[in-house]
Amino acid sequence: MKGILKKYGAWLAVAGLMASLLGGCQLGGKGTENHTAQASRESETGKEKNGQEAKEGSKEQEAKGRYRETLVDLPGEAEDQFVLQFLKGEGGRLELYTTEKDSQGNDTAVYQYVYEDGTWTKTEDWQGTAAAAEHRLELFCVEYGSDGAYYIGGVDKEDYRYHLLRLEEDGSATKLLEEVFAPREGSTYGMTPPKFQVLDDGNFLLYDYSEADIYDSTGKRLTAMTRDFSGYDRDSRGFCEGGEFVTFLDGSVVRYDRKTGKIMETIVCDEVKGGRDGAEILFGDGEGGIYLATEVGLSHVNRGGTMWEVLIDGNLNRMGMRSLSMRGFLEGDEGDFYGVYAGDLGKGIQICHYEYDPDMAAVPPSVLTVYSLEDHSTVRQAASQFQSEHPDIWVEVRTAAEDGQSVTEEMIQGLNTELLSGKGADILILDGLPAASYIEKGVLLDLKDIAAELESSGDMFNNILEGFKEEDGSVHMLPTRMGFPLILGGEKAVSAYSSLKDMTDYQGEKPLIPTDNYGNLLRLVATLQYKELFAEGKGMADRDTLIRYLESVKTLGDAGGSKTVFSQDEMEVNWVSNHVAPTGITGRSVLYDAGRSDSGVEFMDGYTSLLIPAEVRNRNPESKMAAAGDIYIPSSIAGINRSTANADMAKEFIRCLLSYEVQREELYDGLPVNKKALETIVETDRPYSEGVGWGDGYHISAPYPSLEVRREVAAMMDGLTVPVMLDETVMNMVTEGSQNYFDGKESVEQAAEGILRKLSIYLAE
Amino acid sequence: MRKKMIPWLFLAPSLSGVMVFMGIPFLDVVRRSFLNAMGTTFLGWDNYRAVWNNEAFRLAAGNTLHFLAVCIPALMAVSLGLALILSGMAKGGGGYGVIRTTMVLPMAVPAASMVLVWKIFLCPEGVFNQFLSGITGQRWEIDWAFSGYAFPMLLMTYLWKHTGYDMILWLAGLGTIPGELYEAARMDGAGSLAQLRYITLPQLHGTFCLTGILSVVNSFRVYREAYLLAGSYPDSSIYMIPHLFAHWFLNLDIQKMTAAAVMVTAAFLLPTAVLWIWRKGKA
Repeated sequence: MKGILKKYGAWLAVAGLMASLLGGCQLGGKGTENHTAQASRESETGKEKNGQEAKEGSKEQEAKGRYRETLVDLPGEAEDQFVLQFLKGEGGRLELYTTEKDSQGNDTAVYQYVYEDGTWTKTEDWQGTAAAAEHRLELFCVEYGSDGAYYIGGVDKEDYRYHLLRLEEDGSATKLLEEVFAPREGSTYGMTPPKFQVLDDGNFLLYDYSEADIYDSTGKRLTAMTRDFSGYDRDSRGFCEGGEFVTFLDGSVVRYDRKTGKIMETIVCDEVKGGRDGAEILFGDGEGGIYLATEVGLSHVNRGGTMWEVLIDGNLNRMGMRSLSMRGFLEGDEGDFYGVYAGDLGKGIQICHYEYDPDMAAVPPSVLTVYSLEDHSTVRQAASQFQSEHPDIWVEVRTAAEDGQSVTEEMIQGLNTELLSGKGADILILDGLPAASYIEKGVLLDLKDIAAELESSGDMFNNILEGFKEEDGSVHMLPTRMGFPLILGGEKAVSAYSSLKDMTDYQGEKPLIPTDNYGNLLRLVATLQYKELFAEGKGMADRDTLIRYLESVKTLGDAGGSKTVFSQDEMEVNWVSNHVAPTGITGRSVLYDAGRSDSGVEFMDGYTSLLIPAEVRNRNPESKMAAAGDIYIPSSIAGINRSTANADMAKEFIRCLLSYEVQREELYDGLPVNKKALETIVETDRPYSEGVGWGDGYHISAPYPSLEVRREVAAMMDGLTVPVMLDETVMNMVTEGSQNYFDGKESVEQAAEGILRKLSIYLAE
Repeated sequence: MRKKMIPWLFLAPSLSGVMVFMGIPFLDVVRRSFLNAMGTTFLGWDNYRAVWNNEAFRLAAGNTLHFLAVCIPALMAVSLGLALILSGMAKGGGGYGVIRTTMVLPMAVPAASMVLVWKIFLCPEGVFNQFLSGITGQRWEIDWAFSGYAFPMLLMTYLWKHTGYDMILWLAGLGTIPGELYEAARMDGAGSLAQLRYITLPQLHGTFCLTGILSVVNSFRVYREAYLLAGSYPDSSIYMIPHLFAHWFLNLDIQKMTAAAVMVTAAFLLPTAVLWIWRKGKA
């Protein structure tokens, strides 16, 4: 027996060691998962959540207590007005000031709404309305002073001089600090502070753009306090409380002694400051503490403290919504808060009430994760929308490349590792990811039920939907935004875009395509002739096709003097840059207008992209504007991870992404794919204008296009059926391999051989 | 028996580590090589057939073998030659330490920095072309890293980096050869070449095996240099198996990766096993 023990003792020891190592790994893994779930419970901004784990963990130890957001009803007329000010007025009541504007964006009237007994009521014949009209003021600010009087400030629409008025009890208005606002010697305009505050000692705090100054009632400057520059027209980045002034300096919150003008305290706030510089709102808690409201949420720091406590997580409500801008935030009387938001034009006012609900889960018990390589505004918008509709679900948007980082192969490999282990986000935004491979491998869930709903309801453009249907009828991904090339030029030139041959054979007074770098030209031609070059036959892998493509690009480029790389001087002369756009479309209709080419191609990814081309056509009545055949470029393409434990929730989110409410917002990341949303965008007039000028004297100034033009372009979308998704690897190979050919250092055959050597390996893989 | 067990007991901790972190994962690789990408369907030998018929795999495998066949003998020969020269210098004194340190220095340079330097040499406007333009009077604009010269360029960078390391190994081996043997040979009238042939090389047999194995292992890391020098799709002559694996993983072709990994492992293990059995039989 002893012998047997000796004989096998060593092997048992080895086996035991291995078992303990293996067991330890497994236990450790579970422990990590539980810890992660718990940590996410404890931290409102925790990022490492897995939906199912979080859900399970929440059942065991769910922390309670969160601010609940509810919309406050506004009088219907106020919703279409513009927010001017949100403040606590007489008796501590909430007051909302709005303006009406004409088509040029000038104020035509200002109104006061008062919140009492849970209802907003418009004040009829508010004194400020008449005072503003009498003094022709474009109002910047309304304040309720410590002396119980109301003050208004704004610029005279005629001489653009600022006036600060106190509204007197007898109905008159007294001008104050006139000398302070008078233009200084040698300058045309005087100070135009976007905000002022009437202090408890009767002095005035005037917010200039990079300074805040305290003046006494005689106009004598008492203190000057430097702060971060803000060009934002509704600057709320500061407040005075007691003897202190709090504002931003060098990106941090600073507390000034308002008498001496010296900094008493600096509080770093990088994690809660958000990314919309100038739009932050600071206000005091009455006890020396500071509130900071941004898209990140509402944060608070005590006097002398350095740690910000996030009271309201902006990811879970309207605070973080991309389509809204925060215009005011105030503390209520019972530890509650009110936030005022406006849509992208300053209209569409929404007031939200934030009330602490002790029975609400501190963090939503269910988590839905969305993964994308880069940030997508529509996805963020949908996340906020979805969360406001489902308070028990946290949509965690994970972006691989943050803060201007470039997308790297390691990011995709990291995602693939998660997918292979049966994990990964519930929803994948497939832009930049190997979507075709994911579909082939069965990574993505079939969304044909959603597609069928969209088809039967007619909500989505059916022609766009058709482009994503596979041969067997399945649909594994759906685009949520799109754009398309818009060609502008003479009729002959526009019709030349119908094929590669026609483009090359074009004979006109000027080159068909304006000068650009060859990187852009390669991509532009590949985009415009996508079907011919990629979708038919062997595509680029065919030697003859590749040679024809390279020769065509060279012919088109040579006609306009294109180069692979331009020097600084050449860039200025030719109005070009060395930047290469993903589609090669760099907005060249101005060159057509300037007579440098017979046509120009613009990327129509939103109605703000239409200003210049529409104006170019106005200036060239003989010109034609048309879509480039039937191609379009889909973006923010969504799919669902087949291994998700939250398939129904994920499908609901996809529906939200494609819903009218999300799609109607102009988020500058593409056109909507929802028909009704496009109609809303088309029908909305916007007070936008755009100007382009060059050193040689050329200038174009474009207003927002007319409804007729907007409708004309919208109608083009019905004919777009072919989604263009350029293969970046192929395009990079072609761009790198053709440089010497375009530079005249080798023949087209040599360039093609070099490209094909690499391309054949890529295709063989 | 007890004596036989003792070495195994000492080996147990590291063997356990190897088993846990390499052996068991590799068994999973073997399992997955018979399944589809997401591991849900059994495919039999389909993945192996697909990989065997894959032109990119054949090219990468061929290039990897080509690199091994050229690089290992070249590396060993050059490093041995340098070791012999240095060894001779040591006997004579002067400069030995400086040269040895200089030769080993490339090992300490991070690959990314090293490749940056090589790019300065190899780009169309680089040092090589300027040097050639200077001596020939003609304009040279060859992109050495991206053209048909990519293979010798990669070999050169590899030799530059690893020669010093192998040289140190050879020097260690040379140091173990008893001086009396050379003395006796000289007494018998043997020249330098005869001493090299009949004393040095036979005595370096053990060092040869060690250096050879380490060189083969190190040669698999050449992907790093190739990737940094010429990107993820380099000239077809330096397209290696790691290039292919990186691309397959990007496209989630895990089924091909696992099958290819098993095939590559088998390709290296089988000859080793045959050699081992043959030597055992001979002994």
